[in-house]
Amino acid sequence: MTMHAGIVLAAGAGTRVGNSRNKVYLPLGGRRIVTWSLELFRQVPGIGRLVLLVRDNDRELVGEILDREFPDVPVDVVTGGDTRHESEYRALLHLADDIRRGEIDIVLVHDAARPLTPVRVVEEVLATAMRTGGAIPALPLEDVAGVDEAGRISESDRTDLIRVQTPQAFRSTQLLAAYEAAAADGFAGTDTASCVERYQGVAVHVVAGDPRNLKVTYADDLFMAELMLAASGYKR
Amino acid sequence: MDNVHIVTLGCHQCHGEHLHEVTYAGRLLASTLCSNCGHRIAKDLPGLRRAYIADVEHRILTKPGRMLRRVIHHPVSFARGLPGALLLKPARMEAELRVLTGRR
Repeated sequence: MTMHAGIVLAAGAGTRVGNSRNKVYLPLGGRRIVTWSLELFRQVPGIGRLVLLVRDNDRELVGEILDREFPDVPVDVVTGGDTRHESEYRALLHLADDIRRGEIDIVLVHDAARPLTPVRVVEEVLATAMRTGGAIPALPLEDVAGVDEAGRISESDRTDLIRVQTPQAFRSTQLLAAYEAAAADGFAGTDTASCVERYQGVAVHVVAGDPRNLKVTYADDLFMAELMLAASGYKR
Repeated sequence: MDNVHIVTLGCHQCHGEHLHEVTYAGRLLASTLCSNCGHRIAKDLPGLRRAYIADVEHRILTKPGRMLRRVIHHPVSFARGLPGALLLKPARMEAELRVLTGRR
């Protein structure tokens, strides 16, 4: 039976200073940030496979977190790479046999640092990817202006800019083929969609993102995320 | 869960990503402190105390269910970890109270 797979990236994308812990293992409303991100996929019908990308030295902690906070759902824990692209490729290699057997239809790739993504966003990228081959959620980038060399506001039209979010969803066979071709080329994309577009010619569609789908980046974001969780009764 | 975590986060005050000390009172976020510029974001203590009391009530009410789940799913690790957890509980409560009284 065909199912969809959710990949959650917690292998430490972004800067980490010294021996500090990855922020996705911070508690938030009684659970770790990464657990909220996994929980998102658990709530979407059809997503029957979960893959979590982690750093090798976080494996023990991740095991404890999953045992305590996510006990009833199988999660494949895979060691990620040094870059987002490499982590995604490792996740796809982990799923490759099932993808080739036709057991996985759509693969969704999500940042673990986005714990509050509404289920509606996942359902929409999933439905769009099933129809078109690829979909990403995004918000219009407002209050943006160009500046010319003299420091004056540019007259150019900036209404076409968007702020891309996750999860991003793609047909599994095309995603795997794109990453295999990229590996053969030595190409490392900065985002999933660009790799699929470049190597598979998939026209990736944009669906409406959500302002609540914040990525925990700044210290302030933690307070905002906790407030939003409290407002929802600590439920998704 | 520990009540102080060291993680790398962005700081709006000094810009860039720096180590931050993130402090919790129980399950509630209490404050963040940037190690680079000292910028501190903290909940006001009276509000934090009110939220903490409500959260403790919730923790007490849900504790039996959470313990039961752990016993069912991981009886060995539960039994092995219980003495340590009991021994550490007073220190944890004391750490939480220090946060709530502004001494941390």
